Amino acid sequence: VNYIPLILVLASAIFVCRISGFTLKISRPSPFWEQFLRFVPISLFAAIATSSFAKDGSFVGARLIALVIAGGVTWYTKHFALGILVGMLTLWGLMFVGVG
Amino acid sequence: MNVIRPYAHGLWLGFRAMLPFMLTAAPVAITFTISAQQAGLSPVEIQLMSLTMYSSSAQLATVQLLTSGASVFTMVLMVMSLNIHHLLYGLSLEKSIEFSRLKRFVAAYFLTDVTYALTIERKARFSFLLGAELSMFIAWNLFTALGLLMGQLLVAVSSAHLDFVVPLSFFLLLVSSVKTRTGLNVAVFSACATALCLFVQLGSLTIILVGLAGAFMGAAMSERQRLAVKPS
Repeated sequence: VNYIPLILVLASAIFVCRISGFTLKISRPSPFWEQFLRFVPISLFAAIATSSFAKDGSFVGARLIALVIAGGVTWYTKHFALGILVGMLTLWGLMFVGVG
Repeated sequence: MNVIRPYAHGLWLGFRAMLPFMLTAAPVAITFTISAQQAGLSPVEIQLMSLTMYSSSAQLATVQLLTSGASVFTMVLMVMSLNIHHLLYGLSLEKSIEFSRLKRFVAAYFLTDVTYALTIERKARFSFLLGAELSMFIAWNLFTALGLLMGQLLVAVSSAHLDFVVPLSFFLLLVSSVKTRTGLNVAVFSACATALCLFVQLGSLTIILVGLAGAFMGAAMSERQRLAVKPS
C-alpha cells in the first residue's frame, strides 16, 4: 500500500489548523478580547501540563514532588533551565530511593 | 549587516532555548518509528510523516488508526481535533509579532506547543520563534531517522522517564507566566477543568475547550474589575 497520498492529505489538514489562527483577522479587538488573548497562554499551559502529566500513571507521587520543587526553584530564581534540571534530578532521585 | 546580525542572534537564541526540549523528542520519535514500522509503513513514508505532519500526537494516532483500518475521513478529523488548539496559538502570536505573508506561512508550518509557549513567555520576535521552531523540527526529524536506523537499540531511552520534561516544562512556563491573582485563578481553573475533561474522557478536545474556557474566565474577571474601578 502506498501511504504517501494519505500522509500528504493529513499534513494539509494539520497545516490548515496551524495557519488558521494567523489568517483570522480580528481588527481592533475590544478590551474583553484583548484580555481573552492575554489569558490564552496561561489556560493552555495549565491544560497541557495537566493532560501530559496525567498521561503517565506511574510514579505519580515522585513526579508531583518534582513539579513542586522545580516550580519553587523557577519561581525563586526565574531560571527556566535550572528548573528543568532540578525537576528531572529530583524525579530520578526519588525513583532511585523508591518513592512511588 | 546591521539587520542580519540581530536577526541571526535572535535565531540562535531561539535555537538555544529549545535545547532542553530536544531530548524530549527522542523517546516519542522512537516510539512512533517502531510502531509505524510495525504498522507496515516504509522508512520513506515514516520520515515523510515527520517532515510534513510534524505532530507527535497526530503521527502516533495515525499509525494506530491505520492498524485498526479507519477511514481517511476519520483520520483527517482526528488529526484536526488534535491540532485545532493551534488556532489559538496563531491568534495569540499575531497579537505580539508582526508577520509578512511568507513569515506567517513559515511560522505556521513549524509551529509546536513548546515553541509557541517559549516565544510568548519571552515576548520574543519572529527570529526567536523561527530559531526555536527549526531547532525542534531538526531534532524531531533526526530522532525519527535515528529510530529508523537503530530501532530497538534505542528503546531503553524511553524508560528514562524523559517524557516527564513535557509536563514539567509547561508547569514551569505556567509558573513564569502567572503574575496576577486573576492569572492564578485562570491557571487553577484550567488545571481542574482539564482533570475533569480527562475524567469524562473528552480526549483531544480537552486542550481547546479548556484553553477557550480558561481565557474566557480570565477576560470576564478582568472586565469585571475594569468596570468596578471605572468612575461612573
